[in-house]
Amino acid sequence: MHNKKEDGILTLEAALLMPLFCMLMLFFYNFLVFFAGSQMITHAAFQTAHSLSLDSYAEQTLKGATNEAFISVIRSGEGFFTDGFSTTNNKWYSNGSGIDNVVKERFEAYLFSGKSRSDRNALELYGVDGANIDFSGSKVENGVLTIEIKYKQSFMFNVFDLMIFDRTITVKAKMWGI
Amino acid sequence: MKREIIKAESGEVMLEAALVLVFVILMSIALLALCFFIYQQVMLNSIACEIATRVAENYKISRSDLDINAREIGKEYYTKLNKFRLLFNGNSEDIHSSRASAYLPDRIYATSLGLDDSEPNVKVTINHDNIGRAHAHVEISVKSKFLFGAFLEFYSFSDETAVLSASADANVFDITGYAGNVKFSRFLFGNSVFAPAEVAAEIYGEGKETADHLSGIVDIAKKWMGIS
Amino acid sequence: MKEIKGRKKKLEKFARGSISIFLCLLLMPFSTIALGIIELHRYQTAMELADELTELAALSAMAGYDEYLEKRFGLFAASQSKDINESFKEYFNANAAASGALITVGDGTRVTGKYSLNDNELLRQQIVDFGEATVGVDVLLEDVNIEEILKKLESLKSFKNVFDKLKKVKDAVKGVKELVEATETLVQKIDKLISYIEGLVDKGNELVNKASDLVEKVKKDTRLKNFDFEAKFEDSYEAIEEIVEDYKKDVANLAKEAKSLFDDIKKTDEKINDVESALSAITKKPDGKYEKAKSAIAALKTKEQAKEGDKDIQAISDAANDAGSELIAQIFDEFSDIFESLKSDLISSIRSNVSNALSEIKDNVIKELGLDSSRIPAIIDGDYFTTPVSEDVWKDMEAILKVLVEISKGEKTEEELKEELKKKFTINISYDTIKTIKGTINNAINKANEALKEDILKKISETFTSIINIINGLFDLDLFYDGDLNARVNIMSSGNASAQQKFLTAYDKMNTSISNLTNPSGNIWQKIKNFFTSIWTLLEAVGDMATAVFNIVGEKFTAIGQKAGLVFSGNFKEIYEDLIIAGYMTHDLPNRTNAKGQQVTYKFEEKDGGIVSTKTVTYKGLALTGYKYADLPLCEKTGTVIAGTGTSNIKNALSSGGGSDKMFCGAELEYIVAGTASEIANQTFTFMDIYFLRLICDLPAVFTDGNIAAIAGASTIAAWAVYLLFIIAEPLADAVLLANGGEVPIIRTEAYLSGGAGTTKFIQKMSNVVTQNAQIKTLINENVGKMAKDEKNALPTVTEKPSIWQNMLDVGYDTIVLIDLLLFVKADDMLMRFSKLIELESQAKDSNFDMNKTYCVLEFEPEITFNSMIDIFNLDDLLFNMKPKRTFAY
Repeated sequence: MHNKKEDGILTLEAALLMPLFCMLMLFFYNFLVFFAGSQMITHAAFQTAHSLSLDSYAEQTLKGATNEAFISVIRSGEGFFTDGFSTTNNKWYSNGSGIDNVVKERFEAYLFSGKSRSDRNALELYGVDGANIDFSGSKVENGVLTIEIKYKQSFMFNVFDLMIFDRTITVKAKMWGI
Repeated sequence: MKREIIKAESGEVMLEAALVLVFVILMSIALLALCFFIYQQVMLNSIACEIATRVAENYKISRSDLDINAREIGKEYYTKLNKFRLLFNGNSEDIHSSRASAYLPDRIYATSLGLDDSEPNVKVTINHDNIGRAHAHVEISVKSKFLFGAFLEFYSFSDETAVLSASADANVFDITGYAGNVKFSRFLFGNSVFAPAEVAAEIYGEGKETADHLSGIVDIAKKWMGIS
Repeated sequence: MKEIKGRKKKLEKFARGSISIFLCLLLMPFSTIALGIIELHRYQTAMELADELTELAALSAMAGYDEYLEKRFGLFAASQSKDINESFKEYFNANAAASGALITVGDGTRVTGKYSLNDNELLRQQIVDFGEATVGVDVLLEDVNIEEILKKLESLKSFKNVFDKLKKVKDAVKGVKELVEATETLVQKIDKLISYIEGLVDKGNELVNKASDLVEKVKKDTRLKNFDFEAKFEDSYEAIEEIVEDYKKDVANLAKEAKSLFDDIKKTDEKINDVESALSAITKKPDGKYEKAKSAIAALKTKEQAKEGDKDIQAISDAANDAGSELIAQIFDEFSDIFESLKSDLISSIRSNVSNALSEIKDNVIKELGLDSSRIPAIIDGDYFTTPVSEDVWKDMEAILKVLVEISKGEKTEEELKEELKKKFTINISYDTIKTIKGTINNAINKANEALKEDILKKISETFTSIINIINGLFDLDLFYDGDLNARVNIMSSGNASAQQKFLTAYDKMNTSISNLTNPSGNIWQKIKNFFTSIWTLLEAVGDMATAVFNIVGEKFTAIGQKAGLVFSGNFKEIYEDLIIAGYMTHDLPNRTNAKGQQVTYKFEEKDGGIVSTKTVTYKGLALTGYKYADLPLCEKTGTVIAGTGTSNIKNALSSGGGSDKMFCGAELEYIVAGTASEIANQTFTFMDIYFLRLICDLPAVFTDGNIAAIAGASTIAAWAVYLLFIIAEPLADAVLLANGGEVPIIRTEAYLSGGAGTTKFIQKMSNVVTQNAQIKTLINENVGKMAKDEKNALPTVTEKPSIWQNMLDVGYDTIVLIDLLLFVKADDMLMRFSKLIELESQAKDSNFDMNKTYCVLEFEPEITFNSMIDIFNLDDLLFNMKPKRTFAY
């Protein structure tokens, strides 16, 4: 019964190294997921900017119409059109506050194909904390819309929160008509 | 006896080595298959975004002969645009879907790591967001078979032939259509040319004249749209 | 044992760390594969994001559009005052960071304009994009159903046949006129012949007298006792010879006249045959069709067929067609008395009498003059001069001398001698016969004159003058253009008013011939001759006018047919864009009726030492895009006046050229219609165009109006000219009304200028739109009162408004111009002119504006470099051909 201590050394080694190896490989794969996640968010951010930048054109053109209120009702008819892709607040860009909510709503619509879609948790797959996306830096200044999206994206093996990254995407677009 | 023991011990290592190595190799292959799988999924996401963006940016040119990947577009495409694109959709969904369908298999083939990609499917829908505004919603799906795909099934990760899907949305790029619709709204309800009271009288008012007018409009609208 | 131990150790040694080594070995390819895959994905993502980046930056750059174009015209093009290149770069670079470290942007990013709005096709597309809904609704709701209008216009086409029939009247009248002219020549020649014969008789008498004197002389001469005739009477012989020479000449003239007379008789005979065949082709005994047509028209007016307006137009047209045939018959019925008396009394009596006279001449005159009767045919055939006559004359002379010798021998008394001479030379019988011809002609003319009724020409003249007075009066009011809108801009003229000019020239000719139409005076013969000449001249002028009208109407009908054909065959899609463009032009551009406000202010400023007044007109109203006309950069008025009155004013207006003005003054829509550099010319051109369109639309009114039928009836032979005059006059009333902001039904069934209920309506309508209403009222009432009416030909008057037309709403200037543009102006011409207008307006706002730079399709060329994580693969070549150039259109 000598060298008993060396019994199962392979298993042990495998048991020790395999997870490490798997982790390493998955870490690599996580890059894919990570990039895919940020691509989705960037795509949504660009589309949000595109969408929002056109809102002002209708607002400016319809401003002063004899039956502005009536048009406003039609334009803000949430549910009348697809959900989240238009806003209930027609003049969101002019009053300074609440821009982040508008951006959030539009962003979520483009991210989830409609803000009320059930697969909101899809973001989690990409390591993005969907519940805590921060849009507060968004603003409209001199007719230029700046969308600032701050979010946290973590790797699959987020040991000691070491693999959490603070991401910020800033997209600028010219507001139409102003 | 000792010899047997030694033999036994020696076999033990061998057996252990064999078992562990097989396990390690299997795990590694599974990781590789997983890699392909993940890649395929994110690639599909990417393609969905790509198709959505492309459809959206040339949305107004709903012509089946326009390559979805075309980047330099000649005048002939910009001079015969579909009518009523943002008011009645101009039957463009089918055209965009077929344009996307023509592109999808090649696009998948170009970057796919699947062994066999079958039944690539794409569906483009145009959704209306607000007055004169719309976005394209693209849903794509493909059945992919991967190298060592059986391992994914073995680990109950997915079927051997995985059905992958992705979707994306993009704003349609159609300024003139949008502006035309906005101005139409203004014209209908906002200009002094057409006071709301008159509109109401025109639309809801009684009388043969209005009915005649409206039926005339419907007739002509039908003709324009090629319904009758 | 040691060996075994060693082997085991080896094995253990091998086992120890083997997994690590194995995994390490695996890690290399696995990680390489993983990294490769990541890189592959990064690349795809980069490309996709680069596209989105370009799109968003392009959108932001394109947000710098030309605001004036957008606000005023609803068109989109890159602003020329903003640097779109910089703007694109700015947004592109700012957003590039959002892609993470995937891409790097370079400095070579740039934008180039690819197509501008100066390209008609792109301009068309943008207008269609803008107007598809707005114009569609505007045209359908605010204007009328174009399809219905086209249907109605198309159904008016059958009126063309009516014109074709009416044209034949002119040919017939021409034949009659030529007959009368030929008859007149004949009469003149007979007159001449008579005078020759009279001269001949005189000469014969003189001869007798001289011979008689000679005899006296001979008797008294004592020398005669030893008579040496030839020696002693040399002087007298010479005198006789002289007389005979004269006589010889006279005989030659007589023969000549006789020949000419024969020729004329021959010609007259041919003319009679011509006229007879011309008349027999058109003259038929009325079979009551006219009456049927009248009652059919009357019935139509009362029919309750609300939805079958087209059929009714067709029916009116058919009825008018029948009525047209009957009208000709009726005209010739009226005319047949005149014709019959000419034909039976005059022509046949000339025929018989002339032949009688000729045989008398042959038997008596010429024979008695000693000319061989066998030579008569030769004389008549004109070879008189080839046969020397002297011998015959000498024979005569010998005969005379023989008589003289007989006298000198005292064998006969003086009385006997005179008697014998007279007998020998008398032509009284034939003279009298010829004289009776004149009497016959006069009788025939008297009868014809009676048939003409004394005041017929007076009636026609007054009626025509009245209608022409109304037309001229309306022209003289200068309502066909608004003198305040008188810019002359500096552009190439693309309009062509030749059709209008031709029409006006024809009108002038007719106008002159009508004003020359006076009641014939003088003797009966001159009267009847003048009557036909006047009628002929008038009809010729009216015929020219009719040709001008038919040509224009024909062209218009062809255009209507083409468009209507597209619609009726279900190809509405093809003219849909034209409709949108025409509708857009009509409702987005100011015109003379909708732009000008009420206030006119005068600005006085010193210029070149004198004070120049500048009129400023304020504008009201909104364009289709919601742009206020008041904000347009319109031209300041300088008060240019076009010289002339009536049609010469129109002609001058049509040909007035360009100048240095920067913009039109508010008649921009008219520029789209006409395309000339002068605003007044454009207005006038448009006015004439509307007039031509209305000419077609008013045909049912002219043919179904009882008063016009009565006026035409009273004008007998000139009835169709009355219809034509009303066809010309009625649309003028519409055009004046429309061009000044009034409204008329699209197809009119009531005449405005014939004195019926329509006239009251017209005056009422005019008073609502123009200030000259008092003049118009006087003009129409006075002149309508002067028109003669034949009550038996009047259509029954229906006072209630015919319900079949009730669904046809009144249309205004906008709609009429819309229809005019849609039917008669090519879309390309509209776009070309519109593009010029955009340039003028924009340049008035910004002098640096260049239409060639109104880019609506732009090419964006970003410079992107993909940041490779591992620089092994050249994925650019492997997977994608990276083409960063992108084309975007508004």
